[in-house]
Amino acid sequence: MEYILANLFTDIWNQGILRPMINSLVFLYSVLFSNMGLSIIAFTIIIRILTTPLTLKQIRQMRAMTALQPRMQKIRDKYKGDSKKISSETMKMYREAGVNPVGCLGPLLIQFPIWIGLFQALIQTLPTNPDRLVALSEKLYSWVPNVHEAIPLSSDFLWLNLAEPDPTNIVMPLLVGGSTWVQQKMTSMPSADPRQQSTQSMMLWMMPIMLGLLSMTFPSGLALYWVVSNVVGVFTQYPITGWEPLFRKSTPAVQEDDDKDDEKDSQPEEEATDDRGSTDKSNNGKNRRRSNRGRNARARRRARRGRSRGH
Amino acid sequence: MPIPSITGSAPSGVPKTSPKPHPILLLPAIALLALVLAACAPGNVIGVAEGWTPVTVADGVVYAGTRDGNVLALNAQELDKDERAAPLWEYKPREENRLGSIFGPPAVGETHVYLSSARTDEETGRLIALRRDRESNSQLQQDEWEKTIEGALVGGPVLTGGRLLVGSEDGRLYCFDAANGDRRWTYQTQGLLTSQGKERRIWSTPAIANGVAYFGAMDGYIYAVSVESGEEVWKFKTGGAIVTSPLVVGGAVVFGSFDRTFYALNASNAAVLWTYSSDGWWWAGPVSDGATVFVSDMGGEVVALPIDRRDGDPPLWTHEIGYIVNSTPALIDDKLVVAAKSGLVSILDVSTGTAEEVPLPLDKDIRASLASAGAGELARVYFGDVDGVVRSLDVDRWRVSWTVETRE
Repeated sequence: MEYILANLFTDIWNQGILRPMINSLVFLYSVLFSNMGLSIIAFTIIIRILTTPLTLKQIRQMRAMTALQPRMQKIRDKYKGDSKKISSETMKMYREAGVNPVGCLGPLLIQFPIWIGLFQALIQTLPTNPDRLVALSEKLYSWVPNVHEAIPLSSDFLWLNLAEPDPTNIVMPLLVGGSTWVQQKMTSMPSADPRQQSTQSMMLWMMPIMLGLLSMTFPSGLALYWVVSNVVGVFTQYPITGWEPLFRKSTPAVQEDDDKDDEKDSQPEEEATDDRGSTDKSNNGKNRRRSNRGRNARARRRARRGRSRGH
Repeated sequence: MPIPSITGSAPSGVPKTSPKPHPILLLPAIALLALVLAACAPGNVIGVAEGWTPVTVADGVVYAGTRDGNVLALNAQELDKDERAAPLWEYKPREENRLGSIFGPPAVGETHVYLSSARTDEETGRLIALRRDRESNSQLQQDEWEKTIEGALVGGPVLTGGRLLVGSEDGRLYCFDAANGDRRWTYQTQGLLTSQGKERRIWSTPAIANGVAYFGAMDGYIYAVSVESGEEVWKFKTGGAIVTSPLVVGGAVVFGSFDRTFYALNASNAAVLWTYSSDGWWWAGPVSDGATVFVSDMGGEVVALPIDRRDGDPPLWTHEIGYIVNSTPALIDDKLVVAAKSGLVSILDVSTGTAEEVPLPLDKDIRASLASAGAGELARVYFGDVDGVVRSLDVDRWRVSWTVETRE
């Protein structure tokens, strides 16, 4: 039974992921000037387009989760010590808000088979010995034009042999690490939960470092995929958030959401005024946040002064 | 690309999305994990090549290049009597002289056995000559001469008139003096211009006829080069890479290409005599009885093509093996023995293409060429598999007569 299942999944992997990937890469190679680098770039863009609905869903879920942080904090405070109640109330809140707490993992999970598939596809489409060429012959579709004639493929692109790690050992790892950091920073959302904050900031550095290190040993074709995928991700994210998340510090935004929520309870937002006397009605959300931030900071300073006078 | 708006609308500023039940998410996650694990199955992780255990038979001795990078001489008749009979000799080079992966069959001359190999990690090739004694079937303790060549040697060497020719991955055909290993000449192939460099690899074992060496290359050309001088006689471009070893028969040089076409060219001027198209690459070399060429494409379709056919004529017969065929078949006693990569070995009648016996399911990956010797009751086909086992097939009784594990 286990043997049958293992074979079934191997077949699904080969027929459903690996073969389409290999044939796509070879076909793109044959139409893109027999250039494997261009083939990988085009392939990456196609993959990003195909996964756009998932990516958008991920962004929506992340934003929704962020917006729920103050309410979550309140639940934690309210039912402190009763983890069962916290859990049930949190789930209730998610249900009411229509949020799937693990929904944002979908696009991340879908990346793994693509990475592994591409890793294998690169090794198998750029055969360096007879065994690999025989294996490749089994994976080419007879009905796709040009793929049989295109073999063997040239693995050269710029200074890279795409089947081997970057010979400089520094350029591609830096590009991968840098672009991963930028993309993660662009998509990161402020959080009220200190644990989530620390996880986020750890991931913000761990992932780029990890992928950068992997780029030193993996075929540079895979590193090229990561770089292009990140660049496409950044430009997909830009119309939604602008460049602002790149320059945002993580902690103030968290506190500000909390404060804003508290203020919302005591004072309707429409009636709030900033220190210059202008109403928030005429401002956009950004200005409103800025004025809130200023007001809250001043309130904190006043409170500190009060406490020190008291002493 | 327009990005849909994500602003709106739940009371707390949370956008509305359709809620999904939790446990259902586990199913795709588990399936995904299983797929990722399946991706790591041995078939999908192809490591460094270890050779195909190629064999050649001469004077009742089967010479095999093992997966350990050694050379083994097996006495076929002794093994017929006793499967446990010890090898005649084994050549084990020192670590610094290791051979690496052996794909091409050894070449056997009057006084020497020659073997080529690929050290794929260093991208170099090794060519060795081992002295043999025909009478006693013994071997001198040391190799007579050895060469390290720039570029791995995947095709086997070929011996003609005291010269040894071998093609290399560096795109050169090398010619050595078979007696002492002195280099006589090299011929540089055209190479296929790619975006950044040239694809030059030669994996094909040359065929020799009338003082001309014929061989194919990954650049898509088939070359004819004078054995005496190393000068080019002609070259002919096909639409795909050529890894197959050509055959010269009836004034024609026949070979297949990755453009899925099998060619017959006039051996003296490269004029196309006829072509035959199939669905798969041509990797296995052709064999011939002098009037008909027998060959299989990688899709496992065995075809019989008369030498004097014209373009468009149907083949004499076709036979569907149903599995990938890499190894050059063997022609023996008016029978064609074909081994598929899956280990299925078939025996076909050369005049009709019908199976003479139920195919033997050996369940071993066979990629190296088959070698044949003897006739009638003594008709044997020898071959090695990628696990390093050499087999003798009794063609008359249609059974494996002996097996030898060559790996240490």
